[in-house]
Amino acid sequence: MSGPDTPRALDDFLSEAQEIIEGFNRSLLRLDEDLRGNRFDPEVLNEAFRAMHSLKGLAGLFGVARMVTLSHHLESVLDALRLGRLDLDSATLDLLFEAVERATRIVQATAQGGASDDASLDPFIARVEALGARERRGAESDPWGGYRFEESMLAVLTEYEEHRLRENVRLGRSLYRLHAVFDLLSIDRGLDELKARVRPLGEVITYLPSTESASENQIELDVVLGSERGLDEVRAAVGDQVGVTRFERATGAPAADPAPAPRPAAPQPSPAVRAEVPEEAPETTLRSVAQSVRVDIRKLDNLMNVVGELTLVRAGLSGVLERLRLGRQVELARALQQEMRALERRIDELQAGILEVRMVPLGQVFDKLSRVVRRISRDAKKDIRLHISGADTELDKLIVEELSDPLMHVIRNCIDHGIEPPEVRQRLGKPKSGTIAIVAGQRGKHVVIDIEDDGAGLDEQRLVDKAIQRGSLDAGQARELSRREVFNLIFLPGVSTKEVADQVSGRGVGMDVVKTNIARLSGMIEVDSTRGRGTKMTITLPITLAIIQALVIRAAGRTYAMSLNSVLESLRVDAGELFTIERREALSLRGQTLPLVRLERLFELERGRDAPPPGRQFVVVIGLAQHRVGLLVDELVGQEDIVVKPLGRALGAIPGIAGATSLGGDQVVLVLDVPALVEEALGVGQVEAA
Amino acid sequence: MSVSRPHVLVVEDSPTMRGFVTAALESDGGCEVTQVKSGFEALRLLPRARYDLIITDINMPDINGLELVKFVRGSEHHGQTPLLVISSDGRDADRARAMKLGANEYLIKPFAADKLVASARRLLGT
Repeated sequence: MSGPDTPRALDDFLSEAQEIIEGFNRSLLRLDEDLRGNRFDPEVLNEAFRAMHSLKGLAGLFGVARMVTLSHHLESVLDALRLGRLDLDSATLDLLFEAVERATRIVQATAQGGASDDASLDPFIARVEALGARERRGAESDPWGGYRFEESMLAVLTEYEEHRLRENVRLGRSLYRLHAVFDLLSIDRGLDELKARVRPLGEVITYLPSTESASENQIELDVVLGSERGLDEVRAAVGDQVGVTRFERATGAPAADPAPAPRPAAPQPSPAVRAEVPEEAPETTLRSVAQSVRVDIRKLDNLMNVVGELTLVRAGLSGVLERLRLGRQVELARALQQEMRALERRIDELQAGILEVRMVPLGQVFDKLSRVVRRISRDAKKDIRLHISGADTELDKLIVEELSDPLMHVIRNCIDHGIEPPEVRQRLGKPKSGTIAIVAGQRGKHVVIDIEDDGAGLDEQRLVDKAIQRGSLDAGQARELSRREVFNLIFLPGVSTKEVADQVSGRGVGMDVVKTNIARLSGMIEVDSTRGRGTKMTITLPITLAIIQALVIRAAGRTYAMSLNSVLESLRVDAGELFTIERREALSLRGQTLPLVRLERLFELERGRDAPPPGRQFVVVIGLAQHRVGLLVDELVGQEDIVVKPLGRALGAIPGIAGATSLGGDQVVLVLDVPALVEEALGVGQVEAA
Repeated sequence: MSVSRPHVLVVEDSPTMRGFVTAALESDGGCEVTQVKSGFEALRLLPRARYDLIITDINMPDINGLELVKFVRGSEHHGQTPLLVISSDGRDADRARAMKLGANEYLIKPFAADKLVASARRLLGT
């Protein structure tokens, strides 16, 4: 049995608790946004309440005492808020956002098998309690503002629904009863459609299922709606399948209860028919429960490895096929080839399926960011608006997880160094509140994330001074740097680290760490800036690292694999077409200068003896973000799907190498780190190496 | 094999809680459990199947537990079916309403598996 004590069940608890907290955070973000517009959706507040209510029940089941305490107190406050006994303001929201972080910490501590020793929880609880003490108690006056609702309807309203009904009456909205009939089999879809039509009209206060169903296979449902629209408008919006009546206020003389909407005529089935209904329902329910499953990402990694092995088997089979052909076993060869094609298709499908499962929307990280921006900007006494678009862009789960720290740091940088204090901004004629815009989107097999602020921009001279001071380059080199190269100095160790650690980016972590982390994900970060106008950081990432399509090449007598994601084209060149510009080899491609990289130079290799004489070479054109770079190679071997493995601790990180992979026939080759090659060609690597 | 194990409908939106209740009833209570995650799914099943016991949470989106209790009590097949309401503490007003509408018993979350099984047995008369 998977009771609450088994480790399996604990995992379930942790992931459900995490989901609830994330949902709670999303609700708070919406409330925060609504609060600025001074009008919020009561349903969002109710969702936040329900989240804490569920969390409390869940934590209690697993005996996570600190979580029970925390969620219990938050639930009380949220209950008061949703019942209108407490007003939502910015300070309250701050407290709730802080609670998200505390709850997350408790989940993490529980996951690590220990009770969280967060001793500061008690003072926090005291603050929540102090807030709760402001709750207005006592019955709401003037029960129904002239309406006389049926007792049977009022009896099934929860306290919250009753409050919302009162609120709608108080706000002078019209109240409608919509009567709909659904087929049992399609009630989900029917209801979703009805909800979609009704929501824009106003607020759904309650759903009331009718107990007197006209038919076995149908269900009747009343929806009570509060709306500022007129009767005709509501009727037109819901369509003629749905009966609409308006609740009327009693004027002077006691008015009768509003008549129930006319029930569509349906023949009353005889009792005999009813008795025959088979009990087939459980099957339907099983399906709906099992519609989503939670899977440990490591299990998917294992599956992916199996797929990797399968592709090796496929490569091995190609060898067998070749031998059959050489042995003139034409019949067998053909049959084998046919089977191999089928196998190949299935492997592709399997691979695509696993990759799809690994994909999660970037919004998961962005939600966390919004919360942090809110807190940090308040601590830094800056007014900052965060605009996010492309939150639905999907990336491999592992990449998304690893992305949150680097992104957080970039944002901290924007707030700390980018956006000016409000008074400075006003003096400069800028809007008082600064803006940070995060725009994500998919371009081919990459995801590009722009983080742009409208702050002060980078001080080029300061970057150069700092780099010289750190001994990363000398004054002579500094004079030769292009604008891009100057901006890239920010990624050198020590350049972006503040002398005095402060509250905001004060962890002594510089942009160099951000760059290293992004590079570990086979990604790349770039910066562009205009003094006084702002700074833009662009992060380019592959969609997945689990399996990549690779181009296998030979250079300097050795075989390498490289991700095909960033390969634009390959061409054959003669030595005579190459020229040197600023001490670097280049090629003219359709009128554009293409900087070239030689692997043997990068890796300081001797040219192998079996290498073909220079003169007949290939150039692989790599495109990453807006950059184009050519890689000079001796031979293009072919394409393979590969699973990249890290080199392991003993070898450590080798610049330009992303890992290793095995090709068919026990052949292990190195996988080139494409972003690093691009940087080498663009000259950033040179500065870094100096 | 026993001819008929009691058939229980569990309506609860939290997957972990639902799993816990189901596991307790199946392994310790000897029940057959159908579990659903919303009031709507319960509405869809109720007219077509027969349950010996219905266990429902109160706080669920859309159709809440109170509406479900009323629906069950007014329904032809399940007018007399025992109803157990499970809910976290704090919402006393809603719990009182559930009892008034015809729920037979309520359990405050969190509860131990044996307590749930005891309640279920009592309501089932087994």
